[in-house]
Formats: sequence, structure tokens, C-alpha cells
Amino acid sequence: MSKDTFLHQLRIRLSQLPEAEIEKRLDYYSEIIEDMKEDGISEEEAVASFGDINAVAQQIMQDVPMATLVKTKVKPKKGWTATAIVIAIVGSPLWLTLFFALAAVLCSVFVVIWAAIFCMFAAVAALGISGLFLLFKAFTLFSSGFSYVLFTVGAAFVLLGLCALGFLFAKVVASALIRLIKWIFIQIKGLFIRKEAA
Amino acid sequence: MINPQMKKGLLDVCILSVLQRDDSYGYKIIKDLSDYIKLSESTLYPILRRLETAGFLEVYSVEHRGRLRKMYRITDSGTDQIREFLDGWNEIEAIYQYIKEGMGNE
Repeated sequence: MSKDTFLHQLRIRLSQLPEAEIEKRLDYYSEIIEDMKEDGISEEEAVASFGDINAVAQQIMQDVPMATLVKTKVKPKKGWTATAIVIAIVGSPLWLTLFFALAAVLCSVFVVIWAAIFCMFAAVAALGISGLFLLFKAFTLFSSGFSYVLFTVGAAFVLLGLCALGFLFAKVVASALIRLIKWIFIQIKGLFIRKEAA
Repeated sequence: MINPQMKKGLLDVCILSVLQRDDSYGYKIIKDLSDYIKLSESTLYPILRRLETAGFLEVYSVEHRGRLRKMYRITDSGTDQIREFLDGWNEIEAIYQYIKEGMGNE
């Protein structure tokens, strides 16, 4: 790998760091490579002596405190200029509304998902309760004739069977939906913290 | 082979000792120490940063063949740090003797 490729690849892997921090690190490696070359080591060998570039990047990321990573992600890199503040205030009717709309959308997504889970289990419970009800009801029908009793018991078992199947189905769907919620949370968190550059 | 924990403690004072002899730069520090202690480029950088933050060394740039080279210079408190290490040697010596005695006449 040439020096330029190495520095370029390292920059990509460090892109989560503040710009000044990246520059310092790249300058350091650049200087070492140049000094090695003056010492008679070829550029390729110099770069190879650092070992795996991913390991190099990872070690650098580990050196940097987590707080710095989060700050770079949340704060704009060059700080708040006067213009930016003015635009932020003037634009607040716009972005505040957008922000609340976004929050509301996310909120409703969660409510809808939880409601869906609740509805499924409510339906399953309804099947079960009506099945049990019919089963007990059958005992009061002996006076109306055997065929009525048989039909009611049959219907009760159909309902209970549907309830059992529905419960299994609801469990699978519910766990999938809960995973979906977790995934959404992770995505939101990911907007602020990303551990490794792609 | 010294164990990694001990090596970590020694590296700081080794690097300061290189600078005690003369101002130096990254690659030369590694090379000067290579006979005594192995040190990778990726390990050196965070140590230099830490020593700088602690005020044990100062950084300045010089031009060298059309590029900038970062030079490191030891400060007074850096020198104090080396002295402290040397003063502490008696204690280490005593610990060494104690450990050695524990092994009997091996």
C-alpha cells in the first residue's frame, strides 16, 4: 500500500473524529513514513510495518474518549457562528415544527405497534373466552337434545383450537414487532453515536 | 522479556530519557529505544500526547527537507520525573531481592 492510499484509508476509518484530531494523526503517520523512507526503507515496507490498517484505526479510536466521539456527532464541527444562530432562531417556526412533527410521528409509530400487539392478544383472548363459555354452555343444553350439545361442544373446541394457534402466531408476530421497535431505537441512537466508520 | 504491565510503566520514562539526551522526533525515538525496548508507532503517539498534556515535554516544529517535523523537548518537570524514577529504584531493588529470596537458592 502506498503512503497516500494508507493515509486516505486511515482518514476514512477515522471519519468519526474531530477534523483537527484526524489531521494530527495523519500528520504523525505521514511524518513517520517520510522518516522511514529517508532511512532507506521503501514506502510500501514502511506502511506494511504498521500492521493491519483496521487495527491501527481501532487503536486510535480506543485512545479517543467516547465523549469526544459523541460531541463531534452532535455539535457542528466549526461551532455556532453568529449567522448560524440567527438562522436557527429565525427558522425556529420551521424546524421546531418539523422537529415536533418528527417526534410525533415516531411516537405514533410506537403507539401503533404496541396497539397492534395488544389487539392481537385481545383477539386471541376473545377466542379463548368464548370457547370456554361455549364449553360450559353445552352442559345447560342437555334438555334441548344431544345434537345441540354435540354442536356446541364442537364449536367450543374449534374456538379453543383457534385460540391456541392464534396465541402461537401472536407470540411470533409480537416478538418480531418488539425487535422492530428495538431496531428503530438503535437507528435513532446511531444518529448520534457510530462506533466504526463503514 | 518484561511483562506488558511493567513495560507500560517503563515506556514513559524511557521516552523522557531519550529527550533528556537531546530533542528528538517520533521515528528517531522509536529507533533509539529499539535496542532496549520495542515500541510501535501506534503505541508511541498516545504516550507522547499524554506526556505533553502532563507537561513533561513540549512540542515544536522544524522544517526538514521541505516538510515539517514535530520535535519533542523535555521540560523541567519531565526531568524531575526521570529523577523520581531513579530515586524509586532502591525500592524496586528491595522488592526484587525479596522476590528472589522467596525462590530460595535457585
